Amino acid sequence: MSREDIYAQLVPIFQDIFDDDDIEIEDGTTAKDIDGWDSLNHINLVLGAEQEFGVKFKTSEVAKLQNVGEFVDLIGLKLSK
Amino acid sequence: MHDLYWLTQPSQFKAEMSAAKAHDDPYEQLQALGAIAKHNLDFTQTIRLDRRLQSLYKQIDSKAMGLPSIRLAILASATADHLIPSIRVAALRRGLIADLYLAPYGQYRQEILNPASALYQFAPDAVLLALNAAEAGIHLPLGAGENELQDRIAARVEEWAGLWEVITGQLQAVTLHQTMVVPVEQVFGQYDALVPASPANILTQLNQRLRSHAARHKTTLIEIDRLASAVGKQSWCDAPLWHHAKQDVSPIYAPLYGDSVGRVLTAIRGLSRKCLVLDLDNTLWGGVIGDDGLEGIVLGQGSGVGEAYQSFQAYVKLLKERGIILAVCSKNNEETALEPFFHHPEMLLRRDDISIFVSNWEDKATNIRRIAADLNIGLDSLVFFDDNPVERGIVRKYEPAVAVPEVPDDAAWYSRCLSDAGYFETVSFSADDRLRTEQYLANRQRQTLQQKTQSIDGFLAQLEMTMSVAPWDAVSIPRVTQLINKSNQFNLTTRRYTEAQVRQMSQDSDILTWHVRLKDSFGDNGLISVIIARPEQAGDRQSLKIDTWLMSCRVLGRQVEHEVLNLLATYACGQGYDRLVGEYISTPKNSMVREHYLRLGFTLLSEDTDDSGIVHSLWCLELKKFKPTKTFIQSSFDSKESA
Repeated sequence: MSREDIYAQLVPIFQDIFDDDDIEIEDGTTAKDIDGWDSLNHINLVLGAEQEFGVKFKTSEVAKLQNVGEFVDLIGLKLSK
Repeated sequence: MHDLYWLTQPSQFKAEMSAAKAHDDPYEQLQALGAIAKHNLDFTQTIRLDRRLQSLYKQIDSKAMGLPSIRLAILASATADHLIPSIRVAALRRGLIADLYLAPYGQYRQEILNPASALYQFAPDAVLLALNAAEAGIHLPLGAGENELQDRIAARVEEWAGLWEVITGQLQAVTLHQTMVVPVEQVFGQYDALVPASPANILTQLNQRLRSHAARHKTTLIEIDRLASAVGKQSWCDAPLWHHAKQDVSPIYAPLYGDSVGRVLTAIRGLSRKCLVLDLDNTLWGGVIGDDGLEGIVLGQGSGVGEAYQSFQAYVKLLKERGIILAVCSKNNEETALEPFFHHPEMLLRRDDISIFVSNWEDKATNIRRIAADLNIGLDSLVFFDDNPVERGIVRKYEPAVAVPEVPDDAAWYSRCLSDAGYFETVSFSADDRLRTEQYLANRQRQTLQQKTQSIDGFLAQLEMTMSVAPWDAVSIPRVTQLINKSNQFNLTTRRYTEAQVRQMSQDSDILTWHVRLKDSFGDNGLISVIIARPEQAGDRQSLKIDTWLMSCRVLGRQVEHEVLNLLATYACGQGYDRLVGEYISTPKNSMVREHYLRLGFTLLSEDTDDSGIVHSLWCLELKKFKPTKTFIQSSFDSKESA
């Protein structure tokens, strides 16, 4: 799955969790950039992605993530295995 | 079970959310969100819907709109923030506005025992103790014996029961308590259950003790252990998330958790469904009776399919036994449709299990309206179960208040579906519940008599009504609470009280707390009216002020309210009161009693209309001038129990 395809499926999860259809995310987006991205919603995003892509992340993998770009890469890595 | 599979899929979720936003009127917005909530939303969609609800609830006054609401406080020993949206959405799914308070993590004792806590300020109607296995805190050496274990369990549950009593007594709220999720991990393998102090056995025993205590204390259990088993404990709690974020329920299953709580809140408010409306062909038996005939339909022993339909009938029969009213709504000639009920040897449901049998060629939405009208219950009390997706769609479209579950393709799953959907949740089970089907049948016969009898007086005389009035007692309190929370139409003030508050009032000798029962030649109508009145002094005049007067609409037009007033006035006179003061507060549903006190001969003292259009009027009846109204009811007042 290409990064574009991953983004296409990831964006709706962000839209739901932050109730914002106009939300914009890109590789450099971090929690600081989005209002309401707290630790609770961080978990929701990770679980939402697990559900959407049918993958499972380790706590240690998620803890290392610096921004959305790295998250997209991690999803891509899981899907390629 | 992984999701709310009995609800329709939210195929237009995004578009509907946008459409909901377009409504300027908050009430219309709420209606639109309520319709979206009736879908099988996953946890991220639930979060989105809840974000809207949170901001919307700040703008609306549920009381002024006459919407049922409930205040729930959640005291948890683990992270529960992620469960809140699902509870709010589950309540809305059932037409209930839930106002939630989540106490700081792990602070449940302090919150309950300190009257200055935020919990007391919140003034909840219900308190959920969501305590998990870690909070049980019973660690014993594996060699510990049964007695030691039972002592520890008893001490723990007694402590919690003490908190329940504070919740009932001080907060006057209903207690909900979660069962413990018994862990999957074994220490001895399958031998675990035989070792008293094994972790799995400790929690199993603790759950048993919780259940027996809950029954005694009127605490309602949220059976999380059962729900976790139905989902699969392997995924119910995401182990890394427990360690990492102290979430003992995976966010994925928040919608199921929320629905479990939401259905109990609905039951507390008396808003659970009351009647199951069943299709016949391919719902109660396999095949089409009109085409296949009595010998051709598939039902009963000998085939897997026939046994599946029969086991569904067995489940439906149990529902009937607990007081759920059964109705049939089928597209058939009535004679053909009735044939299996009278002549098929494998039918478990018989004609007299069905309170209303409608079988014709009209559309089902019309027939369902007729069923609700005949039973004198709201469409929001009905569940419609039909294997045909087209019929389900029509009923959903034209009568959205009716609950219409998606029906599984295979009849073998029918009972599971109805059970999982939780439409008939209850917080009590009384003798009156079991009688209900008989009561509705008798009501039908009364209506037939009324149609046959020329004059209304002749009809009332033939009913040979006897009424008994008595102060509330332990037996009547559950039904009294139910009526207080669900009566909308014949309800002068629509004041809702929890069972704890009801019990408290019944013990207060200053407050008059009456319930009224009515029997007639067709049967027992059960407990049909509730009165609460308090003394009030104005100058040197002693008044008895009627806080609550409500009546079941089943007995409208039977002079019950006149006879109740006869007794009330006589009683008040005997107690030395000068006058009765009546109160009316308008809601969107109770206009039928706007002139109740006028009809009973009271005079208007005052009438105000506030900014939101709520009418509040006060009425008075001078007892010296009161003359009893002649009625066709023989009444008796049981003062023995009088407080």
